[in-house]
Amino acid sequence: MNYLLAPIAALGRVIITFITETGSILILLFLALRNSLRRPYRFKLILEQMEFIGVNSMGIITLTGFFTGAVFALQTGKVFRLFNAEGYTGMVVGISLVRELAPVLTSLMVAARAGSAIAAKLGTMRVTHQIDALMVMAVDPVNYLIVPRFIATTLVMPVLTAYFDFIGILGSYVVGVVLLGINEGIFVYRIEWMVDVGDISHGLIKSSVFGALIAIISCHKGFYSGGGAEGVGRSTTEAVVLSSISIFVADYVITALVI
Amino acid sequence: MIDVQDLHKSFKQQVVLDGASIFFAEGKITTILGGSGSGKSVLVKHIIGLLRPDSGTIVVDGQDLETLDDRELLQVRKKFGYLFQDSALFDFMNVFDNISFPLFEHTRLKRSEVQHVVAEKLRLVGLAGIEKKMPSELSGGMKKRVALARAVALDPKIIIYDEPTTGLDPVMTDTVNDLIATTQEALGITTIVISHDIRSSLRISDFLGLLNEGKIVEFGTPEKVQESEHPMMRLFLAGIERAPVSKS
Ligand SMILES: Nc1ncnc2c1ncn2[C@@H]1O[C@H](COP(=O)(O)OP(=O)(O)O)[C@@H](O)[C@H]1O
Ligand SMILES: [Mg+2]
Repeated sequence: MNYLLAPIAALGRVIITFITETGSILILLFLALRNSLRRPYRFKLILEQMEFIGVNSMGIITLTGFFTGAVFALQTGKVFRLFNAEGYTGMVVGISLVRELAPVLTSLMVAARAGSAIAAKLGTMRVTHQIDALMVMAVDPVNYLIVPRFIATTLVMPVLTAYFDFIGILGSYVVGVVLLGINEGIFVYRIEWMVDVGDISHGLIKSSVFGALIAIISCHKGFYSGGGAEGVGRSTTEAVVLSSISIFVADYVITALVI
Repeated sequence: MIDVQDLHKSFKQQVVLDGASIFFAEGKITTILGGSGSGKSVLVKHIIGLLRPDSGTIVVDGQDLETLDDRELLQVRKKFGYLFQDSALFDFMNVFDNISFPLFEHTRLKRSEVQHVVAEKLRLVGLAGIEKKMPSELSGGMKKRVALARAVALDPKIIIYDEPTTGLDPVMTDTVNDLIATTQEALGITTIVISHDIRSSLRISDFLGLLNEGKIVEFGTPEKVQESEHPMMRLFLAGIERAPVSKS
């Protein structure tokens, strides 16, 4: 009997964990949203976080953006050449970048860099009682720690994504026009013809949602971290994994809804 | 004045407080003694409203915490200073930013006034002039004293010390005990000390309470408590008598 029930019990535990975890993240999201409207407004902390999450991610976004555009142009350019259609390379790269690749890859980079840092920082503060210290000093830790990170990530993601768009197209231009010798005028004209403001804002809005997800998941993992230094390490890994998965799921859901 | 009546608190199956009652007199030093894991920290976390009881009442300055919402609890917390066992200084801020943190959060003092208060609190703990240092540059004892300066920055009416001398060497232990006593004298604040160090407790306390199996089983002045017949208290007291022997 036990042999039969064990897998069912295990499945039940997984489902329960999933539901409790999701519920707990949603509660924190609710607290963060409600708290963003409450005084004190911490503009200085928001700016600091924007710098940390945004400015410090520029380097890695530049590299990933450039090479994503470049390799994508290389692949499509090679295939389109078979049909004598390499003039369409820029347009295909452009639309894929702006609608999908830029928001998703930028978010993954931010999840890896900033999400892990957020979880590690809040986790360390939790296990060394710095969060308790905030509370006994009558400072709401959600207001002080979570709201600034949540707002900053949500605001900064579209900016980083727009930058990724630009650098990615630049990368595809270098490969397409300079290396593959595609006519510059056609390359640029096709991008302009295909990619409109709607496509760009579709990508930017998605990225903002991804930013909110990264922030709330990473804050949640860190904030409820336990079990000493080892626990903080585990929370950090979980923050990155869970943020990344949720980016892909949310991407599908949003895209399915608007298409 | 703080009055705790019949406090019950369990975490999942584990009963931690099982009808604890204790009284903290205004302007006095009261120590809660108890073995590690006996629930001393849990008890004081109820007093500042970090934990909510399963049942029982806590009255701080005439206010029943039960009846307060989260924002009113924040107001109550401003009456308290709390010194954590591990200091819990913000590791990303220097000493000045740590001590000035509650001042910038809760007062409208100008920067120059804040600098003045921080300097004064640092002098009180014997560490004048270390404003620019980061917590990582300080020894354990210094961290503790900076944390004390931060805890008294807002001139609290009540201060809670969670195991202030645990893990300190004997010299540092005496220094911290003196500091608790002088802080209490200088500022006249109601002082709550959590400890399992009976020797220090007998020296500095006006009252002692022994927490055992979720209840305060013994309470009184140091003289009275030393006469106690409670087996746990006898164990604590025997610890002092044994100490010189174990040295040889
Ligand atoms: N937030 C919590 N959740 C679950 N268990 C807790 C919590 N806080 C304390 N405990 C448990 O309560 C017991 C008493 O803890 P504590 O008050 O910290 O002991 P001490 O007397 O050493 O300060 C311990 O067994 C501890 O594991
Ligand atoms: Mg404790």
